[in-house]
Amino acid sequence: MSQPVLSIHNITKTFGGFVALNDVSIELHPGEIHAVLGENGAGKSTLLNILAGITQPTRGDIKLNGIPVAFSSAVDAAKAGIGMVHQHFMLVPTLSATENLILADMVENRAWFAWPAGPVRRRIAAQAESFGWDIDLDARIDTQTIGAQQRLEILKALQGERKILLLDEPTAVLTPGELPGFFATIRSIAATGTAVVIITHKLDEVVSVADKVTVLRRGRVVNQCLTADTDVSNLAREMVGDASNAFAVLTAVKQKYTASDNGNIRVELSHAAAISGDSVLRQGSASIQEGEIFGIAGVDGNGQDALAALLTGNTILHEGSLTIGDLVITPHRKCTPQDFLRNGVSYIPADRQTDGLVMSMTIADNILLDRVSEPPFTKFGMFIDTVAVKRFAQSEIERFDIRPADAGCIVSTLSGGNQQKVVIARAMSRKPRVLVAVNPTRGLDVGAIAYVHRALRAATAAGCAVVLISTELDEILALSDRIAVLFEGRLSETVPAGVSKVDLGHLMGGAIN
Amino acid sequence: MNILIDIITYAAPVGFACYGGLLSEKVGIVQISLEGMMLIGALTAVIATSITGNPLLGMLAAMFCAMAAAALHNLFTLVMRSDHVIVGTAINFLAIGITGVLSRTLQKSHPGILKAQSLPLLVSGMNVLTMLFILLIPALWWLLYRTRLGIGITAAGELPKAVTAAGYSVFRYRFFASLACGAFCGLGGAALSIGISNNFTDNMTASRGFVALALIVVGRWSPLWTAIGTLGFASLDVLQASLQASGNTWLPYPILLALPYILTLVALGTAKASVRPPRYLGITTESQP
Amino acid sequence: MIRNSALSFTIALLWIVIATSTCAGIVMIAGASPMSVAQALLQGAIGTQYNISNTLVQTIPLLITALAVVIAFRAEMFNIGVEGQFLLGAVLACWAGQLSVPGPLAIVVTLVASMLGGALWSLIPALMLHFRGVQIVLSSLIMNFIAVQVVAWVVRGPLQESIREYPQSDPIRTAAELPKVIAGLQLHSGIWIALAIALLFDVLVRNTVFGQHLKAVGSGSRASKTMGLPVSRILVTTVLLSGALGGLAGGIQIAGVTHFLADPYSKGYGYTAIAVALLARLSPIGAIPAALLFGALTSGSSAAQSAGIPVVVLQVIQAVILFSILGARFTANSLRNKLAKGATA
Repeated sequence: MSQPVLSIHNITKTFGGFVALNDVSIELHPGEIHAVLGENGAGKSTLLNILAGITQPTRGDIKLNGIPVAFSSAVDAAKAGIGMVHQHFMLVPTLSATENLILADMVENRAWFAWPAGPVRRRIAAQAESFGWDIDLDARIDTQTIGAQQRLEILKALQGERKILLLDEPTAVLTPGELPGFFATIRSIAATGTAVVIITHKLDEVVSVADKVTVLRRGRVVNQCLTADTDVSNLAREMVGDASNAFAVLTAVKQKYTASDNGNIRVELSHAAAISGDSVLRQGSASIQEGEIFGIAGVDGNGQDALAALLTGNTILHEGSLTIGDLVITPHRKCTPQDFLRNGVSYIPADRQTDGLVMSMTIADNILLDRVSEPPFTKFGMFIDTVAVKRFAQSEIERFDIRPADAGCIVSTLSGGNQQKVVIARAMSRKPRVLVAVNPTRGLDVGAIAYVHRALRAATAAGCAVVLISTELDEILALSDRIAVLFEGRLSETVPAGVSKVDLGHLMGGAIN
Repeated sequence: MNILIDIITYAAPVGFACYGGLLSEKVGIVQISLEGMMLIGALTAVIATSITGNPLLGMLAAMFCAMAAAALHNLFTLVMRSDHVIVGTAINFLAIGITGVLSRTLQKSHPGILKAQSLPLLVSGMNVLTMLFILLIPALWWLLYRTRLGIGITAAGELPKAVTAAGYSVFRYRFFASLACGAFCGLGGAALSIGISNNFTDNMTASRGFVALALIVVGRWSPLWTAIGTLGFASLDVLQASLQASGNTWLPYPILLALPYILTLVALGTAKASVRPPRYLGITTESQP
Repeated sequence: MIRNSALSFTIALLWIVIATSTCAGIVMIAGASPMSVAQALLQGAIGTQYNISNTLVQTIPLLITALAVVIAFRAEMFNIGVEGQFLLGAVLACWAGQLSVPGPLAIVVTLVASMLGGALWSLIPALMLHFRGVQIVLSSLIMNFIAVQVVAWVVRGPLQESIREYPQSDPIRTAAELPKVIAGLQLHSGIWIALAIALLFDVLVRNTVFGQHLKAVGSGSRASKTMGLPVSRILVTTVLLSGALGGLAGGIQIAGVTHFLADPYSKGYGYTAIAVALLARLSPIGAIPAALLFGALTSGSSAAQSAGIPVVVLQVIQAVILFSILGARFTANSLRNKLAKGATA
């Protein structure tokens, strides 16, 4: 057994009174692929940050090749041979790949006025070729695809003598079709003797590519073993901590739904095209009925933002047609989100803190954000009837069990789950006929996730048509009655719920059925 | 040719302020205080030149005093995380007040101190500052686009955490860029007081520092385009002065004076919508190592 | 809770001391005695009946322009163009005040015209923001410079006095003047208007739909747009309101104090208003005492000359006050954070 290249013992990290990591120990050997598994909030990111030198442990020690080390910064760790690929890329969008690499370069001359463009380009080009990648080194980062950006990030992290490579949720931006290629890359990196640590919450990836796995739950190591000695359901149980399988919660919620020809069609998309910021919907056709959950799967960045914006009135239809609720939208017709809201289309946006809520205002303010200008909340058209507002907010707080149950509480003090409840309460308060939900469970713990899924199901029971746009394939599979896939702005044909993950993966990778 | 030299000489003060402001904004600091720092530079240059008899020393003194004001700006924006625009406005008030008080008190005790010799003319009627203004165009281009430092500057304003991840200190970039801005503004003020007018009068910068701000936006934070914009503005200034001297009567004088500003406004309004300022401009509320 | 207010009080006191010492230091460097300057300031501000009236007269434009700045700030916009809007308000008031309008209507017409003038002057920055995303701070700043030239042109051209001797306008009709509050003193009834606006503004922000929308949009959250609030309309309306207030301040200055327009006209109220707005913590009611303080300072500084220090020292004092406010805010915030951290440790 070779000596571990990196070993951490009894690592504990506290932030104020909150214990993020508790007595975590891991041993990494050269050439080993080690997965760190855990759900949101388990402490994976904190662990990674400590390994990468970004934060320092409150207690515990780190040994590199048997020698104790303490990293005071990311640069320290980098110089010691630890490279990291972040989940949110650290590439400056307005610079080219070469320029970004010059900035991050630890190898060539780091003097102020140095310009090692030549040597850096040569080195990167050679490395890219060894992986079989074709990358444009001179184009600005913001003109390149997410996949290309990730490859650049990996190349960046591999510069210099890298003994250890850390990857934070690397497959979040890849289609199922791209996964085999990615795993092959990881294996060839490991074959050169570099140890690889992958942070993830995707069980099947752990089993596919990792040699060993450490399961974290609430900051503690629950299990550490060879992946050959365990399986998906064991890992799931350890990750979530219930006797019951995590997915059992989800599958129990799903009811049998049969699409009938007589079902009222609530949303009809026909060859629709739209743009929202950087996101493009090139072509989408679908028919969504009342009472069903229509799942739209796809890797992030394939047009989800544009589709969501189109369905909620936040962007203009370029081509095709859209009928939603009572609204008939033709190309270039100006529509506002208010029109959509008033016509029974409610929206649960992807990022609750920036798009869903005004963090500095109260629960009551947020629930009535779009309705405060309408009766019965106005007096004489201009003034606010604070009594009516408070009464309504209080009833919604009770209905959705929002904690703390105080209408005057500022939303930024609420937990993620409760914040999402405020968003849902507002969305449902208009008794919508169409509900557009985008990544509604991102960043929530398991209890909150289950709540949201129940709420979506309850909406369909009330006759609502739910459009669920999510980058979490498991969520789509667990909840949807019918599914379509977005790939490079095109919406695939609709498939029924029983479809296999492999077939879905093909659609996500661009195969046309 | 003479007119060209004139235009460049008149453009130099605003140009320096533009260079300083653009360096500062590229790392994310809004510099409303360009006007105030120029004013401080202008007064200091005159006083120092009067006392020492050497205009070059006057230039240096102007740089240092304006840098002191920039350091004050740093204290409040980088350390205390206050709003950049408010701090900049406060520095402008301070500059007007202190230069006003000092110039008057010094006048009383040392009459004639506010008149100083100008910078010696070197090549074809241009003084050292005018020449520097032109030389800085390629120099700044090289610095920003062909050095590691320049990439760091751009990154600090677009994605500070990339700078941190590469092992550099965003705080240091911002601190020194802001000081450099002060130095440039000081030179700009000197270009005005000992380069053009040979004296100091109340509020002699006449809002040039604010014009520089607009020109930076019009020039898309690039040294070359900002310089071109500055030269354009200066040409209008020179045109207006010569029209006045030749006794023009068909265009009312105030409208002539307003013309450069009107055109700047038009330029601002017609700039491509895709022109984006540095993403982190004005944001120093996040923690910065 | 008690600890909190005691802490705030101590911090405020600390920074007041720092501010006063800095001012004293600068005064000493300038060769005057801080004590005599302070005395002169006090005397000039509230020493005689005339001076108190002057203080109040200075407060009026400061209060209204500060409200203009505050309303824009609440939508996260920096309307530095209040100065120009003030001037255009004065121009239009001057013109309207010379029209033959029946008795009591004259004042109303004059003031409404001034509000229109200010709003029109802020229209261009508002449109540039709406259609081109140009920041208010830049466009309104440039409008200030143009406004100065507009005044210069107008008093030498269309509005110049009938005898065509000086660059100033004819006075407005007596019917358009704001009556004095106490005969013989400068204080005019503009003060009632200013106070009324401050109160109205407060009601607007707290109890109306517009106020609620302003809060949402001003928080910078994208949720306002996603939830269908007419964000652009709200921003433009706010800018126009701000401009109208700035113009009103100019109109009141014409109708109540000078009665005619000259070049140059403004005493920089638009810029001082920024300091007042900050001191008032963006609260319309808070703007009243803040404006009063600056009004007292302005009035007092005109007497400072007798103590051997130029009137320009006012700008220094304003700057020091601004810096002290920022410093006090920072100290309070960091102390509060440290205490919060300590409590949960």
